[in-house]
Amino acid sequence: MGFGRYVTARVLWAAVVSLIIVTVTFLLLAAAPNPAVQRAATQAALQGGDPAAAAERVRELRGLNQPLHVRYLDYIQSVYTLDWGWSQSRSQPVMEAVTQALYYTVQYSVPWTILTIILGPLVGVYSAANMYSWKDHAATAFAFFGYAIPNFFFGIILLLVFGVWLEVIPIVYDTGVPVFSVENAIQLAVPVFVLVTGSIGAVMRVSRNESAEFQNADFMKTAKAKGVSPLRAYAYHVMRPTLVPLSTTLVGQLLALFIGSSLLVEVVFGIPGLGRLTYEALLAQDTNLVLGTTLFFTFVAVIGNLLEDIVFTVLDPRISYDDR
Amino acid sequence: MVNPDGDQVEIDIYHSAGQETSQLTADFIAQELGQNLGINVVVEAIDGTRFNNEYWTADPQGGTDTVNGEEVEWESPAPTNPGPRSATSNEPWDMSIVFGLNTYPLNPLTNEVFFDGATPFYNPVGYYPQFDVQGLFEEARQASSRDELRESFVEIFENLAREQPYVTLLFSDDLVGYNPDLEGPTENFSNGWDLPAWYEGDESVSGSYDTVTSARFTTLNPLYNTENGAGTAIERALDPGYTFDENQEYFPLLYDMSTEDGEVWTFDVRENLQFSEPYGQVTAEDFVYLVQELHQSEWANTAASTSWDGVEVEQTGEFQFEATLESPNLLWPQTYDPLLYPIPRDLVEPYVEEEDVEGLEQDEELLELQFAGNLGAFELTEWNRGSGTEYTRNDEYYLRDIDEGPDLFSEGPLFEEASISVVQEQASRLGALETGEADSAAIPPEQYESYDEDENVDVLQVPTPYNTIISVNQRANGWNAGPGNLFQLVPFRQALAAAISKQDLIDGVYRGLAEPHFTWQPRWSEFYPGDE
Repeated sequence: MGFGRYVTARVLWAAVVSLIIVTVTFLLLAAAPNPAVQRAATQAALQGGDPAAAAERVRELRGLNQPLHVRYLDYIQSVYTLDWGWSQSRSQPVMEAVTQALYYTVQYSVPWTILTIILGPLVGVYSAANMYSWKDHAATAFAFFGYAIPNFFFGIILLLVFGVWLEVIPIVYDTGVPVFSVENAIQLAVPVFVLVTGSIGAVMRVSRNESAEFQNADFMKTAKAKGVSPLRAYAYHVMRPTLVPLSTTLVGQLLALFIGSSLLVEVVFGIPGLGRLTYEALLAQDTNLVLGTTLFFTFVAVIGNLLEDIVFTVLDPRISYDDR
Repeated sequence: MVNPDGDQVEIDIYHSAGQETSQLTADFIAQELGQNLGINVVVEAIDGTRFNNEYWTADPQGGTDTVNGEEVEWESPAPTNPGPRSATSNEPWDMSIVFGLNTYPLNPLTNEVFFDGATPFYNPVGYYPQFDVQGLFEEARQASSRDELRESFVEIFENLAREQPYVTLLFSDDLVGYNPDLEGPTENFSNGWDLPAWYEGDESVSGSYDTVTSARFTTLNPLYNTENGAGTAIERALDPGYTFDENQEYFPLLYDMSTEDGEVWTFDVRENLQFSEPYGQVTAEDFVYLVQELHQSEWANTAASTSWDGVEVEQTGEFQFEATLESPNLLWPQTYDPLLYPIPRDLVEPYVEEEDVEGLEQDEELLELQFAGNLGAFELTEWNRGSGTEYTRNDEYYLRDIDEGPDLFSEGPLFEEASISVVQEQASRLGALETGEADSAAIPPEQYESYDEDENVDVLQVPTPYNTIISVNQRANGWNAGPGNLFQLVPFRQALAAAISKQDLIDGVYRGLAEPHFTWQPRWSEFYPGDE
């Protein structure tokens, strides 16, 4: 099988996977009682009307009395044309709810991801270069501290210190400020810091241990003997092989660049992002919105997997697509 | 106290899991009943929803029983009153402080749902009154003057104080923190009714009135909103028909209501009310259309639809309409049933013709209050679904030209802007209050002292009509210590009430931030029977 055929097959497979998921959600929904019908029936009963007739009216109104296959085709059509219905708990279209939440999530998830994948390996290699010195211990302590302390707790503490005591950052997140403005940078600095310290630990530890292997490798000795500066030696000869095993994690993290969201951090800092959107939709039993957020993450995951598989075959010739 | 076998009596009390105050209250009750009555009380935590489903409510069964010497039939059993005492919930239980109730001080007639004889809508504990409560409620309904009304209610509440259908403990206060520069907030049940006259610093238009809230708004469509928080957000930009002032008296906003006999009510709509263009002036026709074609329709299911059942509405002039009730009620405004938001007829007419509920629910002009004209203190500029609402001052506000109310209404509102921010995390809401980012926020009781000492925050104790009570299970699956059910005996319930020191409870658990509760009304209610 050639590369072109592999990609085609892989894309088709992704389409099939998404169709299966969409179908399963449809069947689950069709089997579950519809909240709108129940509401109407309860309302009718409370007002002394006929609950059965009221339920029937709503069913008719929403097209629920049509045969299953007609409803299925309707459903498939609206899913793939991005007409995801109305969010009852927010009084806006689901698509609008998702894009609005995404807008706020991206503002912190982009700097968070970029800083993590740049700083993580850097600190790791720095740590390895100074292994067992106080610098290594300090860096390790920093990594473990960030890893160990719960984000929401760390967030509240930092809010207390910088928001309430020092009053250098605002406590109520202001959705009205422009994305690229000093105010926005200030209000996002603490949430991003909390998230970076939370996620940098793992990357930093792996890269420290990986790079430790290469410190005394023959090519390092040669480099040093030639008089290569330590910075260049580490950047060129240690960092590169270190990044190979790390790349799996990093690619995964890059995929999460726009959708990696944190519910707890959003709650503490009052950011109306995707994490809160999904969580609140579940709590409010807002079927359309739950479906919308689920499908959104599903599609991103399917596309992400697709890209990952393709990129791997391009990057690493040892990964063959022949027997897959 | 021992049972016939000579063992010490042991009963259980349920409290809300995860709520510190609830648990401490239960512990305190256990201690008092142990020391003063020799009853061993076992304290159990339970999730509120689970308690409601398994212990508090039951499948409606109906049936008959002898109550106060009369044969009574349960004609319309409900989950909260499934039948006579033999009809019980799935799980047995003795006592509970999981739920408190509203005592409806403005409109005590509403208490009928709890106490109207043996078969009211809400009677999970299986209380059988031993006085003629139905007769007294009937008297109250027929009352043609405020004095007669008061007389009937005082008698009802005196009897309830004696019989203790629920063992009454206390009314807790709402604690609200305010920016100390703010002039206007009061420690009154009606706190906030005169917001257009509030100001910061001096009596000129300046600054911004910013508050924080924990819950997002589901909808700002005035026809469909059922949430308190969203109601506040709507009313920043759209006045409802009337309100109650600091003396708990009717205060006309959009319309005045008057009646001779409590049966026919006349609504006089103000003549200086304007919707946004193109809807023009607000007239009686808009209100009559709203009631007849939406609230009273079969299809629209508006939030107010139950309020207008059986009410006949008729337009009697350009700015006047009349409503005739099925049975007279002097306290009709106090039920909030006749409270209407102004909605332009031309806006909703297309939906009415199509009977289009979804269209009506999702209409952007309704959701964003774009039709509000001069009808609100502020104009809604943005509703961000995740983070709250923002407003600017409404320069045309009609309230400036009215004769009633505080003098400052003529300038109001005295803020350039306003906002309500949704901040879920309590620590963040309190932080915002402390730094002055928010002008007002609720204070949790356990932090009362630290905020009371804080000079950046003024803490007000606003009384509420919501009580804390011990529900004692008088049904067949209560009093598990057996035999029989002592909770059914009035003297025993009186003993329980007397064995618990309300003041110690208030001082010890509620940090003094509550009022003792003896009968089914708070002390500030017009219908409180007095202390004799």
